[in-house]
Amino acid sequence: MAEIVLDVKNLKVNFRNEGKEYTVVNNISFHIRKGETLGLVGESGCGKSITSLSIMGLVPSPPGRIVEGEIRYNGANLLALKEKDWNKIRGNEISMIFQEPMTSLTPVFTIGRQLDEVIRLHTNLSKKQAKARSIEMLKRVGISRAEQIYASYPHELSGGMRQRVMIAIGLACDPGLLIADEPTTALDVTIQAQILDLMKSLKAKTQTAILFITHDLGVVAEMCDRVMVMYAGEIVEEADVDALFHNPKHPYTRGLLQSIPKIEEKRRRLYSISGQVPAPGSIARGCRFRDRCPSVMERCAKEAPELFSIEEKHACRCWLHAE
Amino acid sequence: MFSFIVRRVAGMIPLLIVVSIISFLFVHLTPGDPIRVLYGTEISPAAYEMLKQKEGLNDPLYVQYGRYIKKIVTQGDFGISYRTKSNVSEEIVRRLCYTLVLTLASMLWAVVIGLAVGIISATKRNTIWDRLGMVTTITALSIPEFWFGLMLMQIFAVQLGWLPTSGSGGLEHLILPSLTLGLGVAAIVARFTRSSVLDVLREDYVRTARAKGQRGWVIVMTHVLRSALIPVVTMTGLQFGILLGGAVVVEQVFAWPGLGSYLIDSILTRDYPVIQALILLFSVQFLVVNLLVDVSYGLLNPQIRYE
Repeated sequence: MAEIVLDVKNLKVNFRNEGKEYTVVNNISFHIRKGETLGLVGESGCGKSITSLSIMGLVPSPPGRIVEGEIRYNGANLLALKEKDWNKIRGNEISMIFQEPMTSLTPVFTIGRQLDEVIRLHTNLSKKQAKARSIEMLKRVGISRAEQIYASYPHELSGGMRQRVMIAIGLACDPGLLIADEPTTALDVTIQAQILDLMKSLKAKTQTAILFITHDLGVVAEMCDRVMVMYAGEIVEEADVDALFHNPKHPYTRGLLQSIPKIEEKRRRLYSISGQVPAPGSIARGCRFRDRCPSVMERCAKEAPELFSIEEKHACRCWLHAE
Repeated sequence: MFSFIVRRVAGMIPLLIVVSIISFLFVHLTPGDPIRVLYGTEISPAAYEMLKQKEGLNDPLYVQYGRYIKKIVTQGDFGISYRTKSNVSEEIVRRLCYTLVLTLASMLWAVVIGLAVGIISATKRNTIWDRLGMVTTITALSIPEFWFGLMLMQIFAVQLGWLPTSGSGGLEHLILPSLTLGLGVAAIVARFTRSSVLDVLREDYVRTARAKGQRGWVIVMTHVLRSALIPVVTMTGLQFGILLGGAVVVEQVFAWPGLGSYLIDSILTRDYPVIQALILLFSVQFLVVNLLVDVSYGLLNPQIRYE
């Protein structure tokens, strides 16, 4: 089995709001191996993005604070790093693609300048060599008029093009880990498919591990090897992608899968999980999903379930699977 | 770009005509008799009439206006000052140099101090440095210019003896008046810069730059400042235009021979040719500064196109 690139252990992140501290990411552990794509799925506000920002060392602080845990990249604990050393990791070893391609590029600089910046930061290439590398990267992400785009400004590009540029920036220094935070959410469906195809082909060429954050289960099925489902700051289920789709264990995961409309069914109303995500800090005891759970038991209100191992590589945080 | 500037300059012409008519009428319709001011109140009625005829003050207003404009356009001649009997254009050019030097020096203070304070306050938001910066700028905005000028004079000229109290000459004469004049603008620049930088710091692309591994202060000085400067440039340009209109108070306090003191003297003696020339000059200056600001937008923001 390939070596572990990223190993997160017991990560806990708190946010301070109006004098009170809330835990938004609670005791999360996972790892990603070389060449592997791990999906991180969950509703808005479940802590997906904070988890990814923690790995980048970019949790806004204040109000955010990493309370405990370890984030190991190739064995080294990132949380012990000084800011100066973080900057050698970011964009170089670990890079990130964001959800909003429209606003994620600096509007007053050319595409070329923004690509050159990351290359020049992490390599010793000259200006000329960096430009050559930038143009090569633009071609690699499927931009045909690379020289022309190199000299363009972000507002002259479409959303799909900008996301390609973001991917080029992300991969420019051959990172060991790429974090993609909902990279296709803001794009049209046809462009989404193009970007996913691009990421798949790039993945096949490089051995970059990918942490793919999304709330779209269809994208997960397409892209990922393994999946984690997050709910209210906790991982509720973790499995290989086939196991998760064919044999979901957690009631939340089942609910999510059930709420995907199926083309052969002619239902009037789409299925939805009743109720709402609990506000951070509102559940002190027991299972966080119990208010919305169709199989809720007495035990759920008293004790919080752990992440029980069901089979090899399949775990679920539910009393139904406690044995 | 070039055709944009040409069109803007052409657009100024009707505006200048209106300004010249207003300034001409404004001065002529207000009470106050230049003949009596010029030659004293004791001259005989016959002499009075003769002088009035000679200065052309008996002609209808539109004739006087036409004569005035024709001289300006054809010879650059704004007439002879009633008071000093010297050529208005020459005097204005001489004093304009002084005002320009003073204004540029003040803007230099304002931009250097203002940007520095604004950037530090924004990046160290809600720390003691931010608070200190903002309290200082509020104080600077509230202090009357003449008082601040006198205080500087008292400390650096009278007590320490490092700098001359007033007048013009070498660089040392420039320091105190320009600092006095620049203080208020520096405070405004600082507050604008702070809020503008804070806005930009929230942008997604700042996070992208951090995710690339760029150092914090480099991000502020490049990605952030380039966008944040756009509103600051507008405001600075406006202030520059105002200062060019003559720093009346500061020029009086430091006996600086610029346009501001010229304007005051001319109004007090109802020196029509000078007042008219100055009003027109101030309008032109303001329009030119505005044009420069508009052109500078394009240099800062590639999304702006001049069409």
